[in-house]
Amino acid sequence: MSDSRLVRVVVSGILVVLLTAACGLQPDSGSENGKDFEPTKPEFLVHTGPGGGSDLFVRDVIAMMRKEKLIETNWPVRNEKAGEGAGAMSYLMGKKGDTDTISAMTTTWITTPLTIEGASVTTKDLTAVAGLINEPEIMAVPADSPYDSLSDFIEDAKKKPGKLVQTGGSTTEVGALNGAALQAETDTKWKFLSFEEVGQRVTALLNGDADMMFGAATDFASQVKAGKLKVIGTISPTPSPLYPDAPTTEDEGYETELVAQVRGIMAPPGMPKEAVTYYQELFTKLLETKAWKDYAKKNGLVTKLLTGKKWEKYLAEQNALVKETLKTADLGKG
Amino acid sequence: MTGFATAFTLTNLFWVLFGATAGTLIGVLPGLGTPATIAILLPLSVNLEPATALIMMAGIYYGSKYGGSTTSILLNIPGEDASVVTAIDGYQMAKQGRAGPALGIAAIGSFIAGTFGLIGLTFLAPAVAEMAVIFGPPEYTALMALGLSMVLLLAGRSKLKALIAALGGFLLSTIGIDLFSGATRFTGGRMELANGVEFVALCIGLFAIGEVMVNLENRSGQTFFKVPSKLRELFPNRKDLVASSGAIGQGTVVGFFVGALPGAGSTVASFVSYTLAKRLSRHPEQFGRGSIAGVAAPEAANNSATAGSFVPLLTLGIPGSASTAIMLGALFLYGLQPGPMFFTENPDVVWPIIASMYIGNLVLVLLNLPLVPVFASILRIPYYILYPGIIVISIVGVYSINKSLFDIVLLALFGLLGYVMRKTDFPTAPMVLAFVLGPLFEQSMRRSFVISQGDPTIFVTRPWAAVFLLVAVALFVGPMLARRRNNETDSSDSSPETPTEKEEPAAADLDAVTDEPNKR
Repeated sequence: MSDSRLVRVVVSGILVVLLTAACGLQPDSGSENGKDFEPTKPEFLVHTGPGGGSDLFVRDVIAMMRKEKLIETNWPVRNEKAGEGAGAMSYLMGKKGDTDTISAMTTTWITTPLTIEGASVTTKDLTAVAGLINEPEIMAVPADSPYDSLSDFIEDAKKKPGKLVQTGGSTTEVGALNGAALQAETDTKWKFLSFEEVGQRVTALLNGDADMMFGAATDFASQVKAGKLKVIGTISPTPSPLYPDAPTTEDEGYETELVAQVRGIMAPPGMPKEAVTYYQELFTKLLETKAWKDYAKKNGLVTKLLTGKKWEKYLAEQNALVKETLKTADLGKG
Repeated sequence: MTGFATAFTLTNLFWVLFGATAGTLIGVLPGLGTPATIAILLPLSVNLEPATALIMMAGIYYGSKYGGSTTSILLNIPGEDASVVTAIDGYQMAKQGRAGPALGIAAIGSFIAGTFGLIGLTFLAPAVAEMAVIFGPPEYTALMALGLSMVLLLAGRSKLKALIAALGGFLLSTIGIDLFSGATRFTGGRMELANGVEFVALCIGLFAIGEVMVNLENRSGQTFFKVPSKLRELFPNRKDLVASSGAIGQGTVVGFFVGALPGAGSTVASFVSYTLAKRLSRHPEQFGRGSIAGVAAPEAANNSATAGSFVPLLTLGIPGSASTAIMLGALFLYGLQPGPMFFTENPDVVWPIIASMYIGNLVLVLLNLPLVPVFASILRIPYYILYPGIIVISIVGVYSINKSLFDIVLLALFGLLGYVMRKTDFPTAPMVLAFVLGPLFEQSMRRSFVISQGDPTIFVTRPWAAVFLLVAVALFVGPMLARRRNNETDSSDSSPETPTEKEEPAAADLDAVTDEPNKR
């Protein structure tokens, strides 16, 4: 190949990089003068890929906000899936002072900085906008299982140390941590079977590879309805709206303080007050709509609105609790 | 039948067409994946009837499998994950002036497999779902061992080099967060690597960029592709159809069952089908050098897998892939819950979706076949324009996945690796195969030991696992034994120095035919 052709190749490559970079640098348009604040180029960040839990949640939230006329345009979703939340948190850190970017967060944002090497941003470094929901974890077992309560399972675990199998996601997800905390309280040991996909976890329960699972109410709903699985408890202090009769750990007399599966909204550090207030009001309004109430009920979510200092305090408490539980389970950095 | 009546309404036909066309386009462009496109269109679906929304999403899903083959064949750039294998023989066919038949058989194979996959979904769904549930970690481990044993079948002249390449792919796949301990492995503290190496960056780097670099070195200036001049050369002929029929049939069955397994997916299906086609072929030596069956098998499998992946979604409420997970999310939005009772409780949603897929498949083949000459004419572009074009598409595609400049660096590194591998005659396909199957193998094995409390007999006491392992061992050891037997026969028949030489000229002849500067 001649040198001129090589130059053409290189120049084309550089042009592409510049063009793609330029896409992210379009000037803002349609700025508002009449109102205190409104985002001009909103972006909703999530830490999972398309189809992941947070991704679907955010897309549902945007759809509901549009349906309820709380927002006018369809906010774009940005997927920063690197490092179980660490990528999204770093992205927010890099957007210091930005008023248009907000992100959905889950308990992963608390766990990741404590477990993953190189994940240095914590929720404390970011602007805490609002806490929206707690998602009570459900304990499910196969329909023909001999266990009818969490206590039954724990009694059996005492008889067969290290033999029973709990299935779930990674070893540092909420279900695994709460399993570890319960084992510590009851001086029992069982195994943890990790699967990336919820579908694989439910399959493990159906085919008998696992004895029980802690998961979201919707993970099991159809199987429970079809009589293939049964719900025997709520691994949370609050009952599940979908399974109000399933006893909570508190009802059964367990004292372990459990890590909550929370969902909330975070923003870049240094977000101006008027922008924070705008987002807080927006989500407060959303949580009052019928669309939201139906959605929460259908998905077994407990609405728990927390803003400002209350939300910051809650995050700090959860952070301390996760740290403690990781220590109990002998997990985490260093 | 009422399903067809609903699917044939004007609105639904429009959305089938829309989904299929959008799917084809995103399949053609690397980077923007199927799940991302379906997710982007999710808000649009809120205003549609549930069946219509699902019809559109399903259209995108299998449309992308059709489109994915196009850039794989023409430019060695897999448009989406499941088309990686199609590039192996498809691109060789394009170089030989047979891009048209390759594109044609991809469309025809996809149509046949897609349709039979749908027949499977219509009539066998509950039974297949029951079978999919039986599949636990030991079965997956054995299935992945079977897949990995096929590394040798993807080897070029040196089995050792194939094994080294596979080991490299396996090691690359271990980078990222370990699901079992939550710790990061081999990331060097780089957050961009926490979720592992981006698959598309690896494939496009190894295949497309590596190829361009090798060809840039070739300063002869002649046109690299043989461009067909006659229209009839643009479509598969009778011989092509006969040569592909077995591969399409096998791909349909394999794709459907692998697709129905949660966690396996169409990429695994296409690899398994390709290697099986090579194993069953009467001309295995043509695979990797432009075999039309090597295009038909993975294309059939990835389309049939799409139909298969609806089995656990609709009958168990278990999504087997990111795309079906989004569809499940969409169903939740409507208050519908797929599961064991979904078919009986919501026939007004299920049957129109399935009926629309038959229509969508027909639409896609009608849409894609007339485009074959148009796509094939891309190869008329002079290579000094084509190659920068390939690099541009590759960079844009890889960047668009995570919007990460780091991925472009990875693309460049893998491009360089692809170049070096070609120059040193290391095959790239085993590396990609091991990269895809390696993590599934490792994780399934670790899960199996959790279940069995560390007892390895679980792999032989569970019947399906034992069967797959037996086949894997046969596939791994079989070719070695056959080779030894041949060598022994040859050495008893002729002079001692002939056996090795006897094999090499055959391969060299084929390379001369393919006009390939460096062999895979």
